[in-house]
Amino acid sequence: MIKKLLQIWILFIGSALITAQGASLSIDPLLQSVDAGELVFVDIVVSDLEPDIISAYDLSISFDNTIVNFSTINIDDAAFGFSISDFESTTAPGIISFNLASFELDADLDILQNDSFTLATLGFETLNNGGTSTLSFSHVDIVGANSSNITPSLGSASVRVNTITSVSEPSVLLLLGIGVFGIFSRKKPAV
Amino acid sequence: MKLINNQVGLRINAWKSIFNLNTTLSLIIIYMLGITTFAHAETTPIRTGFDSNILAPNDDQSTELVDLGFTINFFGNFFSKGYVNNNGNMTFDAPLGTYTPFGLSGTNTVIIAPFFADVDTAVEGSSPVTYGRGTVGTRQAFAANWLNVACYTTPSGGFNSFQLVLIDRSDIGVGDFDIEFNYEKVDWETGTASGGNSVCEGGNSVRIGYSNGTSTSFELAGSGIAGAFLDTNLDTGLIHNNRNSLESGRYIFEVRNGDAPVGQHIAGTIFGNNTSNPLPSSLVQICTANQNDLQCNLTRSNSSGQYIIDGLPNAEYEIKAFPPVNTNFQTGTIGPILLAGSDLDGQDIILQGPQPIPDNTSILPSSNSSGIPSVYWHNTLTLSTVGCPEGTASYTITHDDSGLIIASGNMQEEATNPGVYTANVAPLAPNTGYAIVAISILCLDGSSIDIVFSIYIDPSGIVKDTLGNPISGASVTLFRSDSSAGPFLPVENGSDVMSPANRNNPSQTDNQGLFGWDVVTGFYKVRAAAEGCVSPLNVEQDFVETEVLPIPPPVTDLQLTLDCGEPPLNACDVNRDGFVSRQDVLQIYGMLRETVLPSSLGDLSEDGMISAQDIRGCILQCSFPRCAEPIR
Repeated sequence: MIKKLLQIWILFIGSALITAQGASLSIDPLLQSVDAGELVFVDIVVSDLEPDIISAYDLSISFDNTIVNFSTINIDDAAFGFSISDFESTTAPGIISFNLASFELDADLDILQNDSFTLATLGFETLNNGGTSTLSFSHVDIVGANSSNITPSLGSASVRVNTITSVSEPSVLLLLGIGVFGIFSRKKPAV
Repeated sequence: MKLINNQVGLRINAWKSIFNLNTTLSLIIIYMLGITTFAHAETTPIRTGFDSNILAPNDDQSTELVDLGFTINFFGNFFSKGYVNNNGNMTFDAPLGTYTPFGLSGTNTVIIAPFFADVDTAVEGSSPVTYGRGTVGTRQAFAANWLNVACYTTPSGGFNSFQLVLIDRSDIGVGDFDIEFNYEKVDWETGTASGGNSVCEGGNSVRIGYSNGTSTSFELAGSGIAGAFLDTNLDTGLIHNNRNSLESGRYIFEVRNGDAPVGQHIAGTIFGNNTSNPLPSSLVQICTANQNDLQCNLTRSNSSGQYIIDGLPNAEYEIKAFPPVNTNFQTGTIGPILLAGSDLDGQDIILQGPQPIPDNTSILPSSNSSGIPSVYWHNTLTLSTVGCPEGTASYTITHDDSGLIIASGNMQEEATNPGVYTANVAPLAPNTGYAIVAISILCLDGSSIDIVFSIYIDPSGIVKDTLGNPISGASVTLFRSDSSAGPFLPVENGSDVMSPANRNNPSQTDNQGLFGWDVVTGFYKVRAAAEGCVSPLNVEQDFVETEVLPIPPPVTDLQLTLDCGEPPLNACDVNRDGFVSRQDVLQIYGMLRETVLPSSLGDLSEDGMISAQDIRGCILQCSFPRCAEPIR
């Protein structure tokens, strides 16, 4: 009897673990380090999707607009067949929102979609302030089969921007110092 | 006391002369008269009523001149009165006491004879002849009834029941009328004074037909041939066949402008797929090819697949065969063929089986209730299939009846789906009926893929509301009558009156509001009804109905309009046109993340905000694939 209960308990725990597995949204790569002024790209990737599908989504990703600025977006609609998509960005705060809705049947989407694929590729312009900007999901609305909501696990990523420091030449400083000295010297009253 | 007239036994009738009196051959040809297996076989073709007068039990007697109640133009002579003769006929010039039937060709008697033989109503067990006036459908009529009558002069032959009905069709032309011969029971064929044996069979047997008393006459095939018309003859017995009627045992002859049907016959055999498979019980219609003078006749193939229609005037004809019940052969057509003074035999038709559409191929939009995609003739179609990547694909669509290619072109490979080929096909109107789609894909390695399947091009009708929106799921019912005067009865569900493209009656409109049947010749009405809808002209009537539709010619683009009030509220139907389409979805899409009143338009999830879930939910409610717009 105890052995049987143990088996049931193991099965229960096992199925619970399986159920706990679900889709995840990630931003790839997790960490990039680039110099200011360069473009940096990240992929928005869904994984562990099967057996579900994505039939529509509406996502926002926030970023530190003092470190990076949104530049480009490529919404990859190959996995959605006939669909509509759009995007919108704001700079204060830094948010890029993008969405897509497929007109295909769930069964057709099931054929078109793999377990893992890229939803979109975002491009950011890096600013010269330096620092690290976290990219994270600020709005997630994912629709699966039968227009039911999917709640994926969410990942985030970081972009470290290295500032470019310009070095002043000594002669310039010297001339500047002489000039300042001269100004103050002329303002002394004559005795 | 009667005398046996030995001479009449030698009379040669027209039917025998056609086949040179060769007994064996005659029997074979007689089989061509056809067997009928109607769904209503258990019903009687005898029309009730018309029995207000009785001709007292007698032998060889006639009535006085009796009033028909209307005037008929019979081969140019107008009659409003006639004599009902005990021996199975009516005459219009004088009463007729002749008991041994004579051939109607060359007679000097103006006669219409549903069963010219020696009837004896004085025999024990026999009922008397009755007659009188009444109505058939909406038209006046006169009938004479020989119901349960014996032969001269014994009850041993059993009892026959038959009827002659004259139906006034002055609504079509002055003096126009229909002759109707109805047969319920034919136990005997010859009186014992006419060479008949002890059970009134053999000898100088019954004559059926009519004559103008001078130069023009007609006899039904088998007339004067012993054994041809008895119930026991399952091939040619009168109760097993028909003419221009779906009612077993009913023979209709339309008399228009004085002319009753006379002339030659067209005969042949109906086969399924090949000539080793004759098809019994196929409805066969023979219509004149001249659309300006369209005349149609109807019969059914017999147990050997053979058919014959006689009394056809010289003209060009087209012959169309409908597959029997519980088969899915396609209809078949031949012609035009010229009938010019002599009979036309061997007019065979081979009905082809449908070629199903493969799983990886589609032609949209279409419905598929019979295994054959049915496409609406005004729709632009998308043809798609799957083959080898980077190949070259083309298609042709060939009309079954004409054999002509009605559409063709190349198919493009989808950039995002290698190996998937599509083509847009322009509307196939004015072509209707069955067609064959052939796709050929030439692969890079030199091999080829050939795909062939059948489609049905539907020209019929649409049910709309008063706002002009198609009504999906409306119930449409087909009514039929042999005569434009009615009565109109619903065609039985599954009946072979309708081709296999759609044998459902009532039928449901598809998601574009479309419906249609391909039907055999006759007079039809179509009735449409939908939940919550009424007639625009009468709110008390929950259906609308067409006028009488003579078929052929085909009735196309039929539109039935129902008043359904305001369209039902649907959160996704933003533009309130009764459909969820791309216009609606795009409007909702434009409101993404907007805050709205809960349950307002677009807020399918009723949470007060337009979300991706709302958009996708509405896409799934779209009336057409990929949220295409409806045809308006």
